[in-house]
Amino acid sequence: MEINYYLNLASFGEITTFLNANYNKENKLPKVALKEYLLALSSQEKILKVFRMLGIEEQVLEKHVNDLLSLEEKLIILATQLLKGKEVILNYFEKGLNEKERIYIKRILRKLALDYKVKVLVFTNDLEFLLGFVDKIIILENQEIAKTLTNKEFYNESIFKYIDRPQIISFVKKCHLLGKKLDNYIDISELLKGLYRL
Amino acid sequence: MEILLHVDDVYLYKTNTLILGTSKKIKNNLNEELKKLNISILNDDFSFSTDFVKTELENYDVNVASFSKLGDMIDKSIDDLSISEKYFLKIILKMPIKDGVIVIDNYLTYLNKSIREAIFKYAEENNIVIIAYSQTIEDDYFFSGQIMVFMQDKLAISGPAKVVLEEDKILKRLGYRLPFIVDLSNQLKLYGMVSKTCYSDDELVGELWK
Repeated sequence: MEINYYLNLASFGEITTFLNANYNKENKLPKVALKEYLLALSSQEKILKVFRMLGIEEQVLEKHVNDLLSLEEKLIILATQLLKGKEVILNYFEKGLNEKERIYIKRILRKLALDYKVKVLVFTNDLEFLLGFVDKIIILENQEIAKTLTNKEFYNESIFKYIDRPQIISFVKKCHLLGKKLDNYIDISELLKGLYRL
Repeated sequence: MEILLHVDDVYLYKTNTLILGTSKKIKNNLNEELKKLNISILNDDFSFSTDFVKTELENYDVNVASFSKLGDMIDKSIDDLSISEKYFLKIILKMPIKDGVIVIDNYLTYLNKSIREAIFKYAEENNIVIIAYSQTIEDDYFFSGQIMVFMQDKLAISGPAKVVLEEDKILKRLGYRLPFIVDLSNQLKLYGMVSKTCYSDDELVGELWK
């Protein structure tokens, strides 16, 4: 499926995620010296402005792509997309990052959407990564839209036909089956408080 | 337990092992040693040699019946595969047939749970050890094996998975999220609501409301 199909389903200022989509273009950088690569896309002034937006240190510009740390590489991928326009397309982007790094990326993506009105598209298979983070979830089946959900609907059982159920949701549902009155938590700290109050 | 590799203070055993936090330098060093043992290493250096799933499977003499999920993919061209399908296919092509070791660099995390289960089930049935580089502790298949965590090119913590997972403060400081049930039960232990670390929903529910 062509990317324009997905771009037309998303909005500026929002994070839209696509589950079960057959979009297979990977986010990768060519193995080149970064400065040369980025200067071919834009001016140094604009590059540094985007770096500041993403919290990338200026000296990273002097690196070769092979020497980038995992998080740096992801941020540079974001930077290259922002240098081209106000749309970022992220395909399994969270892979290769630890939890701290994922939290940082989520914060950056929310800032891009809310403050800079960027259109953010996230393709993933990981609902755990998306919990409490995205605005809209579009589930596809055979390239057609099967369901559209908001971020309040993570406990909608029908979506788990297409994607793995996050462990927190499995656990809470198990507690519900035992007659335990717990809210539909998506955050472990809130769940802990809920369990303590039972 | 049989030692597969001993380099500096790093002991790699012949058991399912999750290796976290490796830099490119550490990974390259480990992989160089593993290659000397003729161990299969799957990373981005591996690419398909044909355009079709069927011919790739034939070239590698893969028993398609071993993996029912392959049925959905078999008539596709490589270009039409989704990212997770591509990584699944690469794992299948590189998997030893029996009694071997495979090192998988970050690919498992791209697969959904049922496909990962199929891979681990195949590995268990055929006495194949999986050593995985990752940045997340997702799979309970490693709970019976080992976890090694590197930080700034040094081994920070290492040992049987269930022992390492009890070091939740260290793991969180190093940037890792524990598997959900392990994390929740460790925190419930602090409140005195359970007496031990749990590894499954059923076990935790049993502990909470026994």
